[in-house]
Amino acid sequence: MIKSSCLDNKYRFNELLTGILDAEDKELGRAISLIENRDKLAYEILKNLYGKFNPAYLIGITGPPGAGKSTLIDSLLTDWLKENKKIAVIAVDPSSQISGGAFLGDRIRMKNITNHKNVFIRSMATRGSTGGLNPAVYDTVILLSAAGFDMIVIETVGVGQTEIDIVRLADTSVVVAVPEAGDEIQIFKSDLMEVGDIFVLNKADLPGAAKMEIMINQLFNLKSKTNRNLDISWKPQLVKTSTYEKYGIDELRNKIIEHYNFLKESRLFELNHDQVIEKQLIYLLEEKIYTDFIGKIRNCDTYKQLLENIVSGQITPHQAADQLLKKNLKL
Amino acid sequence: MTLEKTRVLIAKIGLDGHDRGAKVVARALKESGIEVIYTGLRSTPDEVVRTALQEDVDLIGVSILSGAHRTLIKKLFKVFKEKEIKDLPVLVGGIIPEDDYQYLKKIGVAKIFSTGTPISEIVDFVKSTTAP
Repeated sequence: MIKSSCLDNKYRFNELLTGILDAEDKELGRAISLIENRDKLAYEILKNLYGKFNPAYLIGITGPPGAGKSTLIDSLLTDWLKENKKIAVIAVDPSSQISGGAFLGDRIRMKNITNHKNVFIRSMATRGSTGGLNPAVYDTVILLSAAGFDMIVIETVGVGQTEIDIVRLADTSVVVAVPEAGDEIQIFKSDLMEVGDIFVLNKADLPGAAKMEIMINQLFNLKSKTNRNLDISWKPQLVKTSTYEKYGIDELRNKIIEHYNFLKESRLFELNHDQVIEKQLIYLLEEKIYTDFIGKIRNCDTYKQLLENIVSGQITPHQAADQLLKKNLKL
Repeated sequence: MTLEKTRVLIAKIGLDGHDRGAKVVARALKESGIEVIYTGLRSTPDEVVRTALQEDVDLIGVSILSGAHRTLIKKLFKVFKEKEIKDLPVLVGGIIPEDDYQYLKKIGVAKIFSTGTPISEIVDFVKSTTAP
């Protein structure tokens, strides 16, 4: 909706900044778009905000499509909002690999909270970037923290590796499973089991819930998750919920608070935030190398020549890659 | 590498449970490379405007099949005025009698697509309206 050219004069910029700090829908919404579009104005905004806020508590919620993540968020937040907390939700859905478009429909399930004045919900498409993750999530978290949100919930569809990156950004990772998720082989295959601090067996009113509960609990017994470099461990916990029969939500909320307290007491909270900063730095480097460095190589004649040589069978791609790096990389 | 994406809000306002049309339009827009946010059924004009601001959309497409389009669209523009929104085009689709076209346009609707409109016509219009 907004192009940086319309905002170049200083007055409008200050207006935008004030709106962000006041957590106004319009200014926050626009700033997130600027971040998503990698607009240079977004970097100006972040420069003005950086280092001047307390990091918000980040909860990542992930699980297969249709597991009930958005509905759970709706139920979870309804009560938290009564405590006068300011909460933001970033709902990430995949971009189409073919058209680049996206259908972002997580809000549909959050009807009970959308009207609350202390809630800000933003739907975000993955926008297939080089790292798989939409790096805009990191900056959006900074923006929302600066806007004074106490808690940020990041919802992602979790089946593969890339979404797990977003979950790892979170202080507390909640993995949502459902009874119909398949047998234990499916669970073994899933990386999700390795990232969860809290597991939710949602739709626990459905047949098969008891079996799934046993399977998940067995996996817990196999490993005790050693947490993020420190010698303190948090044992993953399982909560059974049903948003249909309305149970388990309070227990889930208490488990999240328990984990939050654990993070605070063990100082893992600070440690996680430092690690997230490093991760963002790496992502930014990767992105810049991809666009600036690899982009340049692809335009040079040697690259085209080597590509032809590979096609005609004179050299292997490995040899070509080594040659290109040797020629272009000065470290 | 272009990162800028057009974002469109598809909204159902009022007591109206029919959203097949809205979903078809949403899908067509998605397939043309647009990021579509869908409100779900039975939203209020206030909800729609708040969502449009938070999601920073370039255009709103409202679907109404209940017959209450005159009242509801008027309310929508009232909220626009309260929130000082000026540059956000609104399309209306659904069952809209031709007699009401003039009124809806007068209060601010950019374009009306009634039943039977070829889907490509809507996609083309959205693309040309939101082009940078």
